Amino acid sequence: MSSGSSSGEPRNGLASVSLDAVSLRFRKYTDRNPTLKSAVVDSVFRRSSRPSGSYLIFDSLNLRMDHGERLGVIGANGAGKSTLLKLICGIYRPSAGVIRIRGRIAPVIELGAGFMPEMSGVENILLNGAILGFSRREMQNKMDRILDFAGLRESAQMPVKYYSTGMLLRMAFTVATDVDPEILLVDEVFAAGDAEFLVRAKARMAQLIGASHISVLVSHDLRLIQQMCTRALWLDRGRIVKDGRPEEVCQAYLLSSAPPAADPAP
Amino acid sequence: MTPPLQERTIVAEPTAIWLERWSPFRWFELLSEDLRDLRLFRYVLRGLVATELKTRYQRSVLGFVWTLLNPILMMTVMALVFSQVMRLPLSDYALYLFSGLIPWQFVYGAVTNSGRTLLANEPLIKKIEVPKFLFPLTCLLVAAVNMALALVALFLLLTLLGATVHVQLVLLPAAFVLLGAFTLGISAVAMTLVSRYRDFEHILAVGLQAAYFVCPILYPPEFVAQYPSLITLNPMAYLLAFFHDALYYGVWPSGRVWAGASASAAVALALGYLVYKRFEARYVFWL
Repeated sequence: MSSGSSSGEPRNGLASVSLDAVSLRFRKYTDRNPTLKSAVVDSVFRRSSRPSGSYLIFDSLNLRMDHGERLGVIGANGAGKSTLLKLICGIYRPSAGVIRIRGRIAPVIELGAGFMPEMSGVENILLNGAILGFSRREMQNKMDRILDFAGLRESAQMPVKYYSTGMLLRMAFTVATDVDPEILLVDEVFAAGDAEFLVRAKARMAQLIGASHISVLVSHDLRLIQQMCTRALWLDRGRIVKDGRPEEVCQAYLLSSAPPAADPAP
Repeated sequence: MTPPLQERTIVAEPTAIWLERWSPFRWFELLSEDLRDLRLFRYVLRGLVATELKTRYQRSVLGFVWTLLNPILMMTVMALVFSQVMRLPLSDYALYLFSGLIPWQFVYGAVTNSGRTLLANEPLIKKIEVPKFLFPLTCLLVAAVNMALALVALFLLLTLLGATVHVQLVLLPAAFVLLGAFTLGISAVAMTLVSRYRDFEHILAVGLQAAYFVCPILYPPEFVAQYPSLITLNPMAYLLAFFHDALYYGVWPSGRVWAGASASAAVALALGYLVYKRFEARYVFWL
């Protein structure tokens, strides 16, 4: 089992992701915690028991990605970009509709999910690998490679609560990206780390995207999207505004968010 | 190498699973899916349990010793006080108390921790897809380890007190399985209620406190003979009777105790699983 096989060739059929009429309703408890007391009081006084912010993030969204596609997702904050990734991962179940996935998902979304501060670096790498679906043996085989890339060999046995933010980030990124991806989901992870690591991380990411069957990349970096993606999707409050070639979509997005001086409308 | 491409279909969350899919086959399917997930995520479970135990026991000066001393000291105090109140001979009463208190603390610990467990693990649950049953299961296993330690303490104390160890001790594994199933079911319900309504935590605490006094732990069942329903209708009483029989009386549990304990365990576990499957997809939205 060579984990270095990095061709995008289909092995057994083609990877695909399809969302058919997917809706997601979200309840946000902004001003208060949901309590039994308030539920009882609300029902006694016939108030709506629905918490204040119950809204539809996606309203029958349709999206299909096929083998070989590199999809870049852009849009303002709160457009639903990250939520879209979490839907595909299965973290949020849709309120309506169906999501069909062919291929193993490799999420590079929220780094360092479930790091345990009291445990050592090695133990955390094993645990994080388990969360991502790798067996202990698979992770032990990868261990040296991961420690080397993340530059954590000296501090491998130290509890991670003594790690610096940069060390934690390097560890998380390296574990999440030491995969043989079929469907790669990436949510802007180039955010931190020192300059030297950043260069290596970007190269690794590019290589990973190249090796994947399908990539979905969420980013505000339009240049990155145009460099790496074959298709771009512009989301605005859960709706697809434009879907097509990266240059066109990015340009349309830039025009719409240009300062009013360039736009005659008030 | 990952063999064929795995396929996955995520459908909209079920709204009324027990009404729409009232088919034993469907439930069998759900259960086998969950068991497969348990196998896939066994390392995560191990990691969660290990972390929980480490943070609890690691940094104390006497470390492991405290975990043995603590229950011994606490139960000794209780035995001294309550043997006076109950006017029972000390060594006799101490043994009775311990054989009920240890399983009770297991239930109490697991259920209390399960209540908060999803809230405590919110970062993990919102970042990655994990089967949520791992969390109450972690609480159960942690409580089981604590109980094992308390049992060691109990046996040390028993030999000191010169109590006889009964052959019925061999029933202990069966007693633990029944108690574990019962506790897991209750834990799932507690987890659901506390995650949905945060203030249910307080109700849960009061409820457990009440159960502690209602159950024959501090006193033998004969003490409440004027209220027989306290014993006959109390699911926990059958499970406790099982432990009392094996550890204290040294008799083989009667058919009534077997049936009551098994029924309590089965009903609680089934109820817990039903509630869990109903709200499984919703938990993440409540955090």
